[in-house]
Amino acid sequence: MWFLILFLALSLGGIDAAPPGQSRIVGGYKCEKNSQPWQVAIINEYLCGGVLIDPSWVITAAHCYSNYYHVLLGRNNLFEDEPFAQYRFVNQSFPHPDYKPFLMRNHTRQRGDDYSNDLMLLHLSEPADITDGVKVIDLPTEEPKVGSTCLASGWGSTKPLNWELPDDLQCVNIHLLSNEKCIEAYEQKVTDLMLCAGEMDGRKDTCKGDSGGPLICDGVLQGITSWGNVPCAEPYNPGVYTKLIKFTSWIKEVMKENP
Amino acid sequence: MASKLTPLTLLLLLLAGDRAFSDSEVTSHSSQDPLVVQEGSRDSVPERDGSRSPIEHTGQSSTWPTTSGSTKISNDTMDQVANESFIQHVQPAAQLPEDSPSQSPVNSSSPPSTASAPPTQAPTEPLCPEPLAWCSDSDRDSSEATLSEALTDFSVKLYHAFSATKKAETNMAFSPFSIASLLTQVLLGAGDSTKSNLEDILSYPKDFACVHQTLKAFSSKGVTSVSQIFHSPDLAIRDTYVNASLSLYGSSPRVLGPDGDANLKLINTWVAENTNHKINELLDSLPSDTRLVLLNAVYLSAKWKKTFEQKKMMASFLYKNSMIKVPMLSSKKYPLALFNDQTLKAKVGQLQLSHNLSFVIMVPQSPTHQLEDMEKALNPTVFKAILKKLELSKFQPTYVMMPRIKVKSSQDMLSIMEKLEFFDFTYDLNLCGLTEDPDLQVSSMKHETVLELTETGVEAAAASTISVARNLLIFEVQQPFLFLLWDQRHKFPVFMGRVYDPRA
Repeated sequence: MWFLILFLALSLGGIDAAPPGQSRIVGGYKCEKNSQPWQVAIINEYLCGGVLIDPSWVITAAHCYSNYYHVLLGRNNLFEDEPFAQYRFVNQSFPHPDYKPFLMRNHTRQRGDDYSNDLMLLHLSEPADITDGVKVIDLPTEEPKVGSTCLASGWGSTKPLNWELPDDLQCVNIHLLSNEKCIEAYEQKVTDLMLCAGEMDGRKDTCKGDSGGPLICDGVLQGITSWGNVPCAEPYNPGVYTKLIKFTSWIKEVMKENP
Repeated sequence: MASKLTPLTLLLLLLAGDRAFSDSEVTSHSSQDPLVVQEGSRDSVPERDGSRSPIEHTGQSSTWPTTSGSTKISNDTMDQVANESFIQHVQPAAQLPEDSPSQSPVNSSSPPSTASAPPTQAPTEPLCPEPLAWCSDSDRDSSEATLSEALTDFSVKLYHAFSATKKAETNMAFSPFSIASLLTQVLLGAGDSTKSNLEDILSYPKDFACVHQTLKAFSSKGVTSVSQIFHSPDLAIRDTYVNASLSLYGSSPRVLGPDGDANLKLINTWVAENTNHKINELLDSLPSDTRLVLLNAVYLSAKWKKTFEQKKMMASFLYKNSMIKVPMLSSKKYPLALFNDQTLKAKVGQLQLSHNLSFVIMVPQSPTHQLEDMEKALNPTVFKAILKKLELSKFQPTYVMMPRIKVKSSQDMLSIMEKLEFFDFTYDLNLCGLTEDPDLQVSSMKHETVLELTETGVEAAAASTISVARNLLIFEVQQPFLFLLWDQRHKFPVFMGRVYDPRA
């Protein structure tokens, strides 16, 4: 155990030296202010992220489901009021009908568990005001390319296991990997409804509290943060994301039928 | 002439006699008053009385002049007839009470008057029963569930009574269990309406069997609670109450001295010694005419089951529409049972304490929802539903950040009791089982609570299984909240209160 701690300390300190005073999504950096205007925080009994895809619609992970939601938009600091900050309630939530909620809520991991369809739409009770700090991002129209550089963001833990929550939104640059890498890493199912992204040498990853947040590859929203190894950012254990292009039809249908 | 008059006179006398009989009831009633009047008048002015009685008889004789013949005759014999009829009136009046049926009603009226005496005395006896101390095993079993339910109901009543008494947006804390214990000691000596009124506000069934024994069984080592009745020296306490109180509660009423200052010192010293000096100045004054003082002091001695992180941490807290920095308890993976209640619009979190106690926080779901909105929605049904759901909730590793708990509350209970619509302590107090003295009232009743929970826990936080999902269970308490300490074994609230300002 001490060896692992030492290894983490060395890897964090030695490999990815961050400027003093900055903290990270694991291995990341503080996002430039308002550079991710579609990023939202969703707070209920969970801390989750989300993405604004329409003034009235946020997309997030289905496992962030609750019987109430607070959606914070236009935020950089999660706890202090800021010029662009907006606050919305949700009047209706739409978890994907094929998502199996009991799996992810159970703690015991089982070989063969399938976390596919981990996607949920939230209809805001009042549309967000589109400003310089709050914008929508388009759904993908093209398949993501393996090897492309992706940006993930959120207010999740900046430490792999001993959770540490940052005040400010964190960004991390990771690479899109072949799903084979995740299939090799996990006993749970990694399906073609998922994306595999991270670094094979660890160091950089999303973590607890980042669920539902965006994975933007070459400037296009391709994934929604879903699940991964505990501790986060372990070598040979990249993160798993919901592959958004597989769901664009369902998303558009839900939005159309529930204006 | 005399021989001629005699037969007619006899006939007239018979007729007069008939009329006299027919009027006997009326005359018998009126005859008593005339007798009294006549007796009095004879002593003072006999002649005038004599003249008055003929007038009355003249009134009666006016019925006779139906025939001219009789008129002539009556003129001649008026004096004789009047005198004779007067005599006859007197005699029947004297005789009728003894012979007539009218006597039996008089006799029958006297038995009711004699019977009424026992009822006026009897009601006091059954309404002041001996202190109820006997407790069968079967009664004991059912009494636990009944008492749990009663204490939970009483807690919500007390919460609203305290809230109505405290200033708006102030902290408060009280111990429903502790207050119920003191009132139940009083109930032990209560009679008549005081007894039924106490049972009513305590949500007890009538003549609640085994309540005293069950309260004792409900005591937790995680809570130190002391109750005491003090009384003035002129108030004699019944031996039956003293004995019952000693066997059930381990203490009996204590007598105060004649000196007010010495009494104050006596009471405060007693409280300090019995609370390990957690509470040192319970009372700052006593009324000069003190007869009964009811005191109750309670403090929490339990700790968190799991320790929180020891580092000092400050975070924002919403107080009176502005954010203040307050010291926080925090832990990255604290075992917490957490759910949302949509009736109260509250996040409900439960953390383990030692001694089978747990700490429950109900915090409004959003900054736009206020604690007082939650309070308005709080009723026994909602409260029980939430606690039932908590029993079914699992403890999961959760990112917890909440203010340190430090609440001290000193409350005059007489005003609280009046908010509960119990007025016996100041009017018509019946504690006939405690004392024979009918002139009784509670001069002072005080409840003091000290509740403090720092980072310290009994155990270090252990590692536990964590979900692969990348959401994070989070419980951040950054606005005013309601709390209670729950006894998980006997299922009742030990403490309850609210925090508006964690710095206080």
